[in-house]
Amino acid sequence: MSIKSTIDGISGTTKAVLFVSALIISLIVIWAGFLGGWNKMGNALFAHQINAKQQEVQKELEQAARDKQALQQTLFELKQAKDDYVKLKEQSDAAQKIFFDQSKTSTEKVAEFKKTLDAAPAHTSTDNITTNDLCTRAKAAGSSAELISALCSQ
Amino acid sequence: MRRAVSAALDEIENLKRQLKAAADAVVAQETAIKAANDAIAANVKEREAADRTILLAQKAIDQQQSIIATYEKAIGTLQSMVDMAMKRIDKLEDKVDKANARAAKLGILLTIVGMATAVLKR
Repeated sequence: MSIKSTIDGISGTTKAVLFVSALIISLIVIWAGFLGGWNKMGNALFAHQINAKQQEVQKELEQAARDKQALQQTLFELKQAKDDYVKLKEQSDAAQKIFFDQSKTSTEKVAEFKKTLDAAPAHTSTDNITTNDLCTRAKAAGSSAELISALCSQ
Repeated sequence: MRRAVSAALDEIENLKRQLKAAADAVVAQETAIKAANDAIAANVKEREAADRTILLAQKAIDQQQSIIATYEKAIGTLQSMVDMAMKRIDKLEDKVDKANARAAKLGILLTIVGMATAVLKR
């Protein structure tokens, strides 16, 4: 039995039903193909958007890494500055201590000077004094050569 | 005359003693002034070091805040990526559901067509 005789054997109504069915199936296949293409376009757009976001995140992380390096450098400098500060503070404290000590000594010396000013002046008794005594005193006092000569040559 | 010379020698002795005390006081004052200048100079250096330390600490704080802001921005971007992915997944799941529904309807339709064809063929 050939295909043609088989087709001729099918009634008109059945043919119509089969034609409509084939048409519907064809439309569905076309629609599915269209949907597949549409999905591919959507996927491509989504991939593009995700890639753009990924690059954005990558740039932000790189920026953060650069900032982190700068921060580490700053922290290193901060540590050095802190060490310098501690040393300079020790030096400053030592200098301050010396100043207070010297200031105290200075006050003591000034007080000593005032005490010397206020002290009763030396007064040597002149009873029975001899020129020889004066000569000895002049030498002891470190007087001028003229005075010593004048007193001691007699 | 000897009395006058004796008094003059006393006066010289007194003046010498006072002069030595004054000289000692002046030396002590000069030493104290030098120590004060040294202390002031050391204090200035200490102050400068303290200012520099504070500035660097402030800079470090600013940089840390900047890093935190950058990380927060990156987290926000990642969050938006996740949101986009979730939306895409929802959309695809919806499409899958619709496709399944269409396949089911098509199966029913094809079954009906097959049955109708079989009936008509008889």
